[in-house]
Amino acid sequence: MFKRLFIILFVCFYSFSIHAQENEIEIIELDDIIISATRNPASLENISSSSHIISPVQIQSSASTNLGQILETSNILNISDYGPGGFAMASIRGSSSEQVLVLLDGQRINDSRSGVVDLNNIPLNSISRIEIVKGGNSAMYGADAVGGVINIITKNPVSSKVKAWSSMGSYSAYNWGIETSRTSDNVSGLVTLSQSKAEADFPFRDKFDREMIRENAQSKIRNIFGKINWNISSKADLRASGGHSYSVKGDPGPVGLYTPDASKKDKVNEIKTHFNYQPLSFFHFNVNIQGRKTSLRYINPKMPYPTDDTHKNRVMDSEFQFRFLPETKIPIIAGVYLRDEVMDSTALGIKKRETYSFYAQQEIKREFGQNPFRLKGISIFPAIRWDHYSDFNAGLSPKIGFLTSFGDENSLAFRGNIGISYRAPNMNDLYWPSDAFAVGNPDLNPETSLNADAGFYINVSQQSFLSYISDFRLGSTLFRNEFKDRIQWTPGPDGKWSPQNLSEATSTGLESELQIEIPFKQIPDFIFLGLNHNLLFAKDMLDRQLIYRPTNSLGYRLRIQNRDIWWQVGGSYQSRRYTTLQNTKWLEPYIKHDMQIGLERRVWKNLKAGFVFEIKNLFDTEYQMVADYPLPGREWRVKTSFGLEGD
Amino acid sequence: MQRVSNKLLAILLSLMLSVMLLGCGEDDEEDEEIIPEVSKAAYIINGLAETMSVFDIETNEMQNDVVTVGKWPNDIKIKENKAYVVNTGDNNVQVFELDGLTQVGIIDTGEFSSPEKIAFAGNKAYISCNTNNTTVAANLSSYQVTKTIDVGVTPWGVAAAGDKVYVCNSNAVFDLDTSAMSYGDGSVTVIDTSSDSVVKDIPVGINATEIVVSGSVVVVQCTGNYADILGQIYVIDSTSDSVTHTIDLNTTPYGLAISPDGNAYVTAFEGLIEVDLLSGSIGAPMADFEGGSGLAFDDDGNGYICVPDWMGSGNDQLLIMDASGNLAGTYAPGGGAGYVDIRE
Repeated sequence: MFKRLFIILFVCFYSFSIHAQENEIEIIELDDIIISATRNPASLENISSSSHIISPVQIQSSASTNLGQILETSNILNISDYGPGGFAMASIRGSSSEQVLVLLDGQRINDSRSGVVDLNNIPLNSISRIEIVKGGNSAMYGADAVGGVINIITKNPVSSKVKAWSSMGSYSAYNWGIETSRTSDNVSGLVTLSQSKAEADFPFRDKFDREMIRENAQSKIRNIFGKINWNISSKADLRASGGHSYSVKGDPGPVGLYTPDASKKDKVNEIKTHFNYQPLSFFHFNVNIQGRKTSLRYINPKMPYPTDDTHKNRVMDSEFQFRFLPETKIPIIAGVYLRDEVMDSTALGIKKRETYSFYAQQEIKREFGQNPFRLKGISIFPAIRWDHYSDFNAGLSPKIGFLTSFGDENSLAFRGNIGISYRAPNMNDLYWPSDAFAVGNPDLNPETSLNADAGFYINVSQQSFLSYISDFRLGSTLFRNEFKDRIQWTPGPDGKWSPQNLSEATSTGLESELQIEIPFKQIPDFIFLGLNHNLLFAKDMLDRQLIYRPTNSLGYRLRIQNRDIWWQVGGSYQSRRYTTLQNTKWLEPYIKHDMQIGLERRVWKNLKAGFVFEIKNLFDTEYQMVADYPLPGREWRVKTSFGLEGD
Repeated sequence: MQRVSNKLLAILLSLMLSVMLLGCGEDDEEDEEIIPEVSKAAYIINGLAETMSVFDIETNEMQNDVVTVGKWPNDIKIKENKAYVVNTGDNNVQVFELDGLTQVGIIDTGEFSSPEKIAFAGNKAYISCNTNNTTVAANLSSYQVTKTIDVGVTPWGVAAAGDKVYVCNSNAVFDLDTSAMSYGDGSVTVIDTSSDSVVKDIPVGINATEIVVSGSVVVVQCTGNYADILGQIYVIDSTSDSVTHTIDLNTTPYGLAISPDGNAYVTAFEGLIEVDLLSGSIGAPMADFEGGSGLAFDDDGNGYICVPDWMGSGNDQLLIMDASGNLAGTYAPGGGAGYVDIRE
């Protein structure tokens, strides 16, 4: 059956590819401009941090419906996925999930109660691109940017169009959505709506090798997002966006301790404005104001621990940012950030947190002319941030980065960073109410980390180099993080567990990536091969590997595209991940492959049609990312889309 | 220049690929487990590491993590030449042959059962299951559950005396209104092992968790509420199945065991407390043994006390108390060493 399906799809692909050559469809270039690393648009080779972009092309050509799924397949981060109905959280360079800052258009969305973001709960429909900056970055973004920063950039209205899509897949997974945008001289707007649901009743084998069906992993998610951009004048513009998402999910629980009646209801409402004004050529300022309300209700009526908790969070963010000398070689950015946060939780009560922050950063760049060493430029990126929280002490976070680049078309860059970052104690840590077993500790300090990295990046795009390669990129970064005052729950004299700033850890590793593009006729990236590898030694004070941190992880992506049609296969390997502190138990290594075939082509005048067929976990590998949370075997998904573009 | 660049690229590329290839093979090496050959030993369950350690009583040698056990192990008992490990998180009991420590069977106590403690009567094991308020009887030849017996609320400790099995019902329940545990009056359910039916419920104190048998006396430890209500010992006469007297412990106790001389010993944060079951007097906490959890005695009267380090910092201890009550040795078991039993 599977073989027959594959043959049919291959024939379809081949016939479409022949036909597609006759059509003149625009080629979407790979995007390598990143904003999050310096707050300014910069190419990946012109920044000091090791950074990655999940481009619009990758997002659009995926049948994934949420952020967790697409990050998992990228292998840029280490994802802990609890499977359908469960959480997905990110770890970077051996950090914990609380030590990864997640931003939505530059504004933090980490949950202050738990400190983490459930990536499975962020729909992809409103996302344009995802930027990932590795390494400590509290000097720019404040708390939780210890392992790195994930910045989710939402879509912008760039043309007048209407697009609708729907997908279906294994285990009764359905998704549909519509996006419409309109642009005029000064005002443009975009609205997206999407809804997805899945039963996720996939089969798995439990630890006694019994065939089971995962129950209560169903989900239903709806999402609305809108954005308006107003170019008030040549010197001022205003952007406003708002979103609403609501999800109802079952919570299947771990194998053996199933929670067949548990459910989660998640609601997020947010509104955001961004005003940018450039009164003078050497001075810009912008104001960002964001309001965000979240609500999570978790219900489990069954013994032994029946639960009905609701956690509501209301956040008001304001940021005033000043940019001096923006078009020079010494641009300065400084800002003030204010945050007011109120949590109303049936578990923790009503808690408030106020944050005041001041930050400043600069890029000092020196460019060189012709010289025997082909030295092109040297840049230094100093940054500092001071954070004050109403309920704990944070203080100063400094960082300095450097970049030395050689050559022009064929470039070599050496880069490095050193800085201090911290992770805020979350409200569970601080305010857990005293019960029979545990009590929070309001005297906690943040976890701190000294981060350092150094590496190189080679980009060869000159045709004289291996004529059959149009673009060659090779990068490698050695990093070391020293974590101090790690928050650890430990039993006190009365036997109650309480969090303390106790433990230390280090993570040392080497990240390497390789990207090759091979042209064919007029298509510069007819074949794309991406390969990345992470070597990680994340050790506690007793030199034991931290749990769920693989020593080796490897990812690959091979994409062949012929203008409007493409075929892609990608995969990831994770080595052994220990599940006990003592490294006595572990999850076995796994390698998993995904495959996609897709096309998008103009079918009539301005009407475009798209089709994606995806097989996840191609070889039906049994694997787990978190112990006792099985993940689905082979899954298929088909996505179709139609788009009508205006003039 | 171009040639040099190509060479440099080739070298870097080779290095990168070499690291990848070497790294991806690192898990092929399996750690070889050396199973100790012992005739008299303490078998320790390490709750954090989820492993078993073996302490050779004759040579005073500790071998850690000799075999992995299931999720959230909460009890170990030795019977004849087998060790039975109760895994609460896996809803099962693993059975290991002591010579070679090979797993020879699994008693599946069923979904949502959360088995906690085990005791033996004849060719049957009785396992308390604290999620579904039952105790299961299992055949020790087939490792199959033969009967599920309804007992009290949140059963915990279990012990056998003659043809009866005694199950502590802690009555510890999660209160949805306060989002906290509440502890009602405990009880002891008496099961007739010939019919595997309940014959009596004996009311005892708050949060009855541990139970041991000494001759015709059944000793029940009521832990209290971990706050203002402190622990008590209830002494039950197994012939009449009635409480004869109670003993205040003045602390929150954890483990309970009977020494060969018939006294009870209770582990607590302050130290090990000796309880004279006849007179009802308690000794001062022996500070050498503070922070203990599970404990067991050998036939010579030596006590083996587990002191777990729940932080996972590797400071777990097995303390050995000689028959005179002195600290005879300190050894390092695996992470979260919580429970111990002795092979004589």
